[in-house]
Amino acid sequence: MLEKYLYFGNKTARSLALTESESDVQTYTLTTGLVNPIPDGVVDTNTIFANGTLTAELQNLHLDGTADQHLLGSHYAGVDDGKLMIHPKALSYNGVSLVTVKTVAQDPVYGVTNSSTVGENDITFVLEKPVLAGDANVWPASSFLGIEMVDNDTADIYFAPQTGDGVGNGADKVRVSYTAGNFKELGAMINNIINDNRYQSGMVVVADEWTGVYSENNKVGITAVDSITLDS
Amino acid sequence: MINKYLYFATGDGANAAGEAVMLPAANLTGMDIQLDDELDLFFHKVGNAFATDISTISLIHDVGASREAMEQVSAALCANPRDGFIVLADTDNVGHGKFWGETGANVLTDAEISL
Repeated sequence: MLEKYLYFGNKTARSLALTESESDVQTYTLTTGLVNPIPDGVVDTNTIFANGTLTAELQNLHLDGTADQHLLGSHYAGVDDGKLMIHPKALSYNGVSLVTVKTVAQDPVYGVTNSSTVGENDITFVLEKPVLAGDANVWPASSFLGIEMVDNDTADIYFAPQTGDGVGNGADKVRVSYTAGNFKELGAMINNIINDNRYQSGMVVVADEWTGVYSENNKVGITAVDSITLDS
Repeated sequence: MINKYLYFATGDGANAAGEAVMLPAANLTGMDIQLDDELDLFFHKVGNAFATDISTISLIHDVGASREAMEQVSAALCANPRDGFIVLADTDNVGHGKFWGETGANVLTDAEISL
């Protein structure tokens, strides 16, 4: 058997809504309410936004032509009041906690000059990628131990522990939920992945909640990676 | 089938203990995210075949690129170089050749060794 490497992603929704914004604010402070620890990133770059890890959305965009309205770069032509996803090129991160939005004067295309009215610059940050232990894992297919039915729409997929020991439960476990009655199909899918050499060119995404990608066009009907439990 | 071996160096000269290591690919037990910019690769303990402990290689990568790092490592593990020798991370190299697959979408920036 050629070795294969099986990926599972268990999404934990993480967002930070900063309300009660001040007027004319262009800089926001991330807190551990988003994720702990806060990503350190690369100082004064927009990498964390450009690669899609973090998004920023204004919640109370105000565009009525009055003096206190938001000013938008040319990229945002045609948007209305309400919410606005800020383009990654307008965002930078200081590598510690501060996110700065470029003004239109600084970036006439992607910049956003915030409103001078208190409360109109509320923003929500969302983490879109796995960043903490247990968010996603890879096991060699040779570590696969078996699949145990939990109930008609849930099963546990077991692997020899990454810790390499028998301490704790002695196995790593991925719990998945799927269309009721498809346990046999789940088994067949894992069998195909392990035995079909078309899967040996790189990492095999078995189930990834972060991107909604599931192996074999999700014939099993996987609805969730409920948990990833690693041996202690 | 030849055996595959993975080479890691920390970029500190590879001339002292802990600065470089070669491990069998077959001894990989799995990968787990450590931080937003750090991926841990676990191997059976290099210094003790009967240990209840593991050796860890931590790969530093672009912030938020955990999955991409896993993909890059998996591609390296699935590669078939004629001699079986896979340089996954060697920041002692100058220019190209620091990371496996770096001419593609490289997200790796450094390696740390904990044996």
